[in-house]
Amino acid sequence: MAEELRIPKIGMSATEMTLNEWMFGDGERVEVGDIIYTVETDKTTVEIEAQVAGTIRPTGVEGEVYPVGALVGTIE
Amino acid sequence: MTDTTIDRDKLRDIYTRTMRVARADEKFRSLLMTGKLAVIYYTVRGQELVSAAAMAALEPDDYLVTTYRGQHDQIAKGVPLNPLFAEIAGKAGGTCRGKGGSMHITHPATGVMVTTGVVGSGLPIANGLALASQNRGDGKVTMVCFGDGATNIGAFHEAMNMAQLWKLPVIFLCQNNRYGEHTAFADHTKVDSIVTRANAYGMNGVKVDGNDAIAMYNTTKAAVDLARAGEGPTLIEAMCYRMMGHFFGSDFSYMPQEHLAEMAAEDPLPRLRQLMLDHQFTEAELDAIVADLDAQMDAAARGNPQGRLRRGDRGMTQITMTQAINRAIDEAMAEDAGVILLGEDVAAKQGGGVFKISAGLTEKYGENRVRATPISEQAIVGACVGAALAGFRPIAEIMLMNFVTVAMDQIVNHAAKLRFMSGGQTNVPMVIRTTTGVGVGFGGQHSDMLEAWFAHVAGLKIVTPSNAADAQGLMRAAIACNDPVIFIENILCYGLKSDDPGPGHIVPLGKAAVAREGSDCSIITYGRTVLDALEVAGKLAEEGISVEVVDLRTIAPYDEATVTASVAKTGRAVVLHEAVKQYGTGAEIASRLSEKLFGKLKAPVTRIGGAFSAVPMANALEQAWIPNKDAIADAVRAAMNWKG
Repeated sequence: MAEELRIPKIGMSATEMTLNEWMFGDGERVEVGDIIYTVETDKTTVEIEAQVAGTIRPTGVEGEVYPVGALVGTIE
Repeated sequence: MTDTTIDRDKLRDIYTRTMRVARADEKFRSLLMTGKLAVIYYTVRGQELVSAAAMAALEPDDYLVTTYRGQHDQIAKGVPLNPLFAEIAGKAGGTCRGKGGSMHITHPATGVMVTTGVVGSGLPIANGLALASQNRGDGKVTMVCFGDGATNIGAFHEAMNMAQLWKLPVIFLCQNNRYGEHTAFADHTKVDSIVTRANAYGMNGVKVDGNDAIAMYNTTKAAVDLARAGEGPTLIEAMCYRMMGHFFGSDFSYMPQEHLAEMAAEDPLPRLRQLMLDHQFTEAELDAIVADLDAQMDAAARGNPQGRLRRGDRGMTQITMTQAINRAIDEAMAEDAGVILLGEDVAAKQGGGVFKISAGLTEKYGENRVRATPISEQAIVGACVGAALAGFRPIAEIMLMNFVTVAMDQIVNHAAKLRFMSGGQTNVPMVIRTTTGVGVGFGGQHSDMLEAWFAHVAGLKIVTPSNAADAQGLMRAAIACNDPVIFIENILCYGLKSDDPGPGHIVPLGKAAVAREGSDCSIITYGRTVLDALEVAGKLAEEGISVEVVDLRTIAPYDEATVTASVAKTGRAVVLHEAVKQYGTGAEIASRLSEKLFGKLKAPVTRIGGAFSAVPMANALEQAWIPNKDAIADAVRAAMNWKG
């Protein structure tokens, strides 16, 4: 089953976040602990690490603002 | 010197607890990172070993009180993972049925009695749990965990002093992670060590490297042994590091590089692993422990135990109000050893209370049950909350109602809410007795009626008697109630006499009394102003106006059925209280009457209350401030003459 990548809740008040940058392209191999993308809220950038190894399929768009919980990709 | 050796089985126990905490923390962060959980989470990375070693020194039924960053303490104490994960995710299968969440984990089966989201508030409650154990002689020890930041809040100081004064079996475990939220230790505290503060209260204080498993365990065990032997409390300052930000995802760029480097070098997890290897545990053995924990973790994270939350005849003799309240408490204390009284000056040595309500009780029940306290309102209320959680029915005397402001956190955030937040696992059967009243020249800080503040909080009941017989009966009912009751007395009413209702008299909570029947206009009131209303009703009868007086007796929840029935009959209502009119309880009652009886009312419902200012001291000013009898009579006449 593919691991879903959803926008995390970070901080006390954030309800949405900007997807800053993908570190891997579609179909690339990621390992546990790799930084796969970054999000930004309240001028703080947070690095999101892969929790499983596999093939990454980003669907979220860099620069777009997403609500907490939005699906932005998978790791197969 | 503390022992530097350790039993091999104990070491394995500490390792298992540490890794259970560590793997659960990792799992949580992983769930948060992938957006599967969207909750505020205070990560415990770096503090795993401190609580594992400390909890390993406790017995399973010892009590634990902890703080919002307390998941390591809860897990190390033994809270099972499935309901813990479910609670944090807000599921009905959680420890508190989704009512509490990560900041309010309660699990009495493993001794976890309170997790508070308010810094420092756990300490006074821990004293209460320990006090219950001391009085019962059940041999339990209470541990309360908090951070270095909590040592600058008043509750810490009040609780430390009280615990030492009474030699309570409590361990104050300060997990000094060197940051209070985002502020470094040196920027919030001038002393080098929290141990200094233990010394200030004559308490045994020990500083220990919290990441040294053997030292941490042996230090805690020594403190636990002392407490269990009746030798009193210990403060342990366990040095550790919070290896991540204040909460999950928070920035920690404010931590200097040197601090981060120092922290990495002191990471308790590799350090403990090495210690295990040094004690001839094999890599394979340790890996097997972790693999087993991971399997439990995965099962807990997958588990969604019970789906989502659903919405789901009187004697001839007379008795004064003072005697009546004293008798009610006396009767309750005679029947139930769990009824205890805590307050300033309440014991025999201090004269049985400023208003003599507890006269004679110390002689009968001893100083363990009638405890004169320091002037420490939040410590008093907190101790009562804790004792109530442990099954006692404590009575706190807060000498004057204005002083409840000092204890509001314990009343509003703890006493009122713990039953709800624990999902019904715990409850707080306690009474807060307090007195107040305008008309004695006590001025702005000793006269207020503050019932509206409490009426606004779900979980509190508020009672006030207008006569001696009701005072006796309501006090018995308040003590018997399984939830907190604020019992308001009026200084001017202590001498009022009623026919003696006799022993065992009980007036149920939530039931109003029709103090005088009438047909033209209802006065809805409570407490001392019932006397004014009755006097006005007598005078107006001479004018041919028939006034009905309803005495609420319980202000919240009030007896809406009786009030509505009275006004439905008379068609007119004046709501009267001594408290300030603006935003007072009268507004709630008037509003509900209008909603229920709109169209049937012969005049608008009006309200009378105190002036919108602090209560003045000078008698002339005080009399101008307080609702007077002429104003009450005028309000009734105005209702009678209302032309629309």
